[in-house]
Amino acid sequence: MANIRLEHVYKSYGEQQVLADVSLEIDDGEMFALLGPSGSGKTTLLRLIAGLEAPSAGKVIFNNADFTHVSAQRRKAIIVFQDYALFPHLTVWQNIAFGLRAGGVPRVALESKVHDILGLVHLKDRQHSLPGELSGGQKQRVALARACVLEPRVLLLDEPFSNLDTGLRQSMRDFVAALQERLRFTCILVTHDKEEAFMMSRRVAVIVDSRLQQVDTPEAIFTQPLTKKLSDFLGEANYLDGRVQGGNFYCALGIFAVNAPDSANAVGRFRWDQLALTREAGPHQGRVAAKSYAGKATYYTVTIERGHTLNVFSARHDFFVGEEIFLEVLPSAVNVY
Amino acid sequence: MRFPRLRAIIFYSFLFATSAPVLSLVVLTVSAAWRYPSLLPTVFSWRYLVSVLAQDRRTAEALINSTLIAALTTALTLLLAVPAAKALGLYQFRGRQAVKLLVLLPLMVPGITVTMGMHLTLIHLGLAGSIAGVVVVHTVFTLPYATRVLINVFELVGEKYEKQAAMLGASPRMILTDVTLPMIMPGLLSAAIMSFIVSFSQYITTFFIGGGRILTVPLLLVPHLQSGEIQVAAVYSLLFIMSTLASIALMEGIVRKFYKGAYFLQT
Amino acid sequence: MQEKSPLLKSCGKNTSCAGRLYATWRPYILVAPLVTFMGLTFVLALGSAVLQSLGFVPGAAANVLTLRFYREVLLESDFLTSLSYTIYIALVATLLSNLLGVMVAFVMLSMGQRPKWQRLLYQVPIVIPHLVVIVLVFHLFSQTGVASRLAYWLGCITHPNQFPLLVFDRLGIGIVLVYLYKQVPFATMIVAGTLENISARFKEVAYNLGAGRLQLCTQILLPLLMPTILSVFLITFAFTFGAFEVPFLIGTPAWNTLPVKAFFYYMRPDLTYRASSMVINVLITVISLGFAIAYGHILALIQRQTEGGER
Repeated sequence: MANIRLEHVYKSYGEQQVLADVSLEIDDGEMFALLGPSGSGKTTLLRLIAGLEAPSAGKVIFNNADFTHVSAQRRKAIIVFQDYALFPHLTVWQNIAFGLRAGGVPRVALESKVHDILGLVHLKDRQHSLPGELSGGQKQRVALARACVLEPRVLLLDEPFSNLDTGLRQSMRDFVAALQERLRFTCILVTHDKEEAFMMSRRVAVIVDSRLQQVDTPEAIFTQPLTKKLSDFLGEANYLDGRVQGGNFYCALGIFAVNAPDSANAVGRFRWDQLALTREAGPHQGRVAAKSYAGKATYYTVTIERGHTLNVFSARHDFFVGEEIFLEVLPSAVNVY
Repeated sequence: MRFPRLRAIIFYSFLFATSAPVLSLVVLTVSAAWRYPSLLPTVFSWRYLVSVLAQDRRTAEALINSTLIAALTTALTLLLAVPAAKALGLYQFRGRQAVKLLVLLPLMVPGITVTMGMHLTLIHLGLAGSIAGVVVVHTVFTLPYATRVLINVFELVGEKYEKQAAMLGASPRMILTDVTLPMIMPGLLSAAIMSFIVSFSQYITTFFIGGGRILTVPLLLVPHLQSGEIQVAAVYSLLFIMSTLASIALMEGIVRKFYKGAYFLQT
Repeated sequence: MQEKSPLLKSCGKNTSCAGRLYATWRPYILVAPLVTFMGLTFVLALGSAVLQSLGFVPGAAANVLTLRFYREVLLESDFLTSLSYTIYIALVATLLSNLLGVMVAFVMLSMGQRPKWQRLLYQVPIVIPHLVVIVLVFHLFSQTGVASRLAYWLGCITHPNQFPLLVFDRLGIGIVLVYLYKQVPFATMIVAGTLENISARFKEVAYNLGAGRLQLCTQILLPLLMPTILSVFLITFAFTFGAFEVPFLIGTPAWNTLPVKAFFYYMRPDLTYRASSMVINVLITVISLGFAIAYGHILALIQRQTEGGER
């Protein structure tokens, strides 16, 4: 277990910059999520922490010791790969014992460790099976056991749930969360799924276009993304042009207090769920232009005065296309870029 | 990175061992005299090259025969192998394994056994001593290679593109010329090249089935090898390598001309 | 659309009836030309070889089915010598070429991606026919060859007679050299391809779990490479075991390999010797196929361990 610190990490392949100036601190025993679109550099960051790549510049620090040039073999920063990468010719037991044998753990200690972890991941009855004979969820548990049995300094989960069916995905998330709770490893979860990141960790770092955009609680990232790039990645938001003057943002939807310097050309972010439709008279009149039903909510496209078109995410399904309605902004922070 | 020097030595001596002998062969063809302890020929001359390539009429005959036989063998091989490889690569059917085994078996059975076994049949069919007979025997030995490559290609490409083309309204003919052929072209090319080389290299099969009437480059080469005329043998060897390379280049060139710029050539 | 007549249910449109029939028979139609061809050539040839080995030789004096020729050939004094010589050469050539091929493949892997010209250069021998390689070995390793001259200049020998006999020799060194030149690059090419794939997939995982180079090689790469090595071994062994030209042209006159022996029998004017020739041919074929079957079993065993795995 370890506290992990990245200091001004850069990584480029030839001309192409993959990571730029990433600094980050992850606490001992924390379940930390690294969120970003595919190609953002988050997997590279994971590989840098594991020592499978060396940074072009910057430092990787484990427990205040510089690990930047420590080889992958000695880092004990274990990745659970997206496709699990179980050794196909080794049994479940042999797969789990592999790292212990590589580290020269004596036979007796090795057997008891493998035995314990097999119990923890509920795979005792499959210990002699080959990976090809296992289901997706079982393979994942073998991969987790293979990593956890080494008592890693940090456990790195690379998109661990993306190969699983929806139902299994949720139960594996619970399983991993419980395992982490119990073993208290420092754990970094890499994912492109914002809900997964928000649900599984208390702190989330978002990387977009090679750069760290924000490190914060899920709530803060969801409601107050600091950059436009991050906001774009999160999606499901309307943008309205306006201006900032004396701490207020002036736009078609009204005047909102914001924490931003004065600017003549500002863009305000209004999440789809931050707007609400109502039949009672409100400040903004509009008309439903389109509607699409999505189960737990319905998406409406609404046109308001001066031709602005806004998307609204509503729990009410009863507005109809063409209906004259009123739009209100729910009390919540507005972000300006 | 341990022993980087040792590994470099191993690799480069391997490269040397594969390529240097060919170079020394070239030197041999232009040497008229090469007395014993000398490391390089004592007299350089075009004599052997000229006498073998230009003055011996049989050389041209052998070259034409070899090329013709190899080309016909390649054509027959592809004609038989492509449809079969498609069935074996794409469809599950009863007897699939047996057919696969049948095609690959000539790799396991000694060539001389098959040749001698076929000798009688071909005599009865009146094909012994003819180009056609030689082509048929060569094809038995080229089919395993070609079919194996093509099965792999069909497995890789799958049936989905053909199905998509059919759904888009393409006729069977258009599917063949615009979808299937371009997609399997890399495999088709390597199958063709392999067939050509295997046929071009045949000695004992041509010797038996040709019955002395069909002269090919290997048949010209072997007697000189047996009588120790190493320079003449070297000239034929060089002719051999050059014509093989030229044929490969020609086949690649044709494919690239008709399917130019296609990404699939890189697969 | 909801209601379908029984006829429609079973057949759909008229054309799809034919279509379905075609779909069932399509694979057979596609393989038919190849199977017919192989039947008329290869299978018939094997049948003819077996028949002739049983004494049914058209044109020869007696045409009775008999096992006499098998007995005669097997009891011949030099049959066992030929058999062991053939196996010896095949085994030495195959083991050495596989060993060297695997070694070079590992060396190449550790040296990283080689430039294209180097990859083309080492594959040159694969397209050079055996006959030409014989010329090369002759030129390089005969008693007056390049190697002998080098030995002279290095002061190892003073006369070509002192250079060891490497061509036409009893140990079959010349033959093995020909096979090595052809087969080491072949083994390297096939093994290197698989090795790159395996390594790309599992190297980082093994390092990540704390394994060293040696463990990666012995516990992951080699076991996963085994089916490939075995395939290459079988293909090269079957080829060298049944090959005629190389031992015929640069083998020792003292002993013949089985294919060469079969050839000499076949070429005798007395046609009854063709039966003996075919006996040897049948025996070589049976031994080769025996190896192939054994290989199949071993491969199945290994593949239960590997390919039964992922993908």
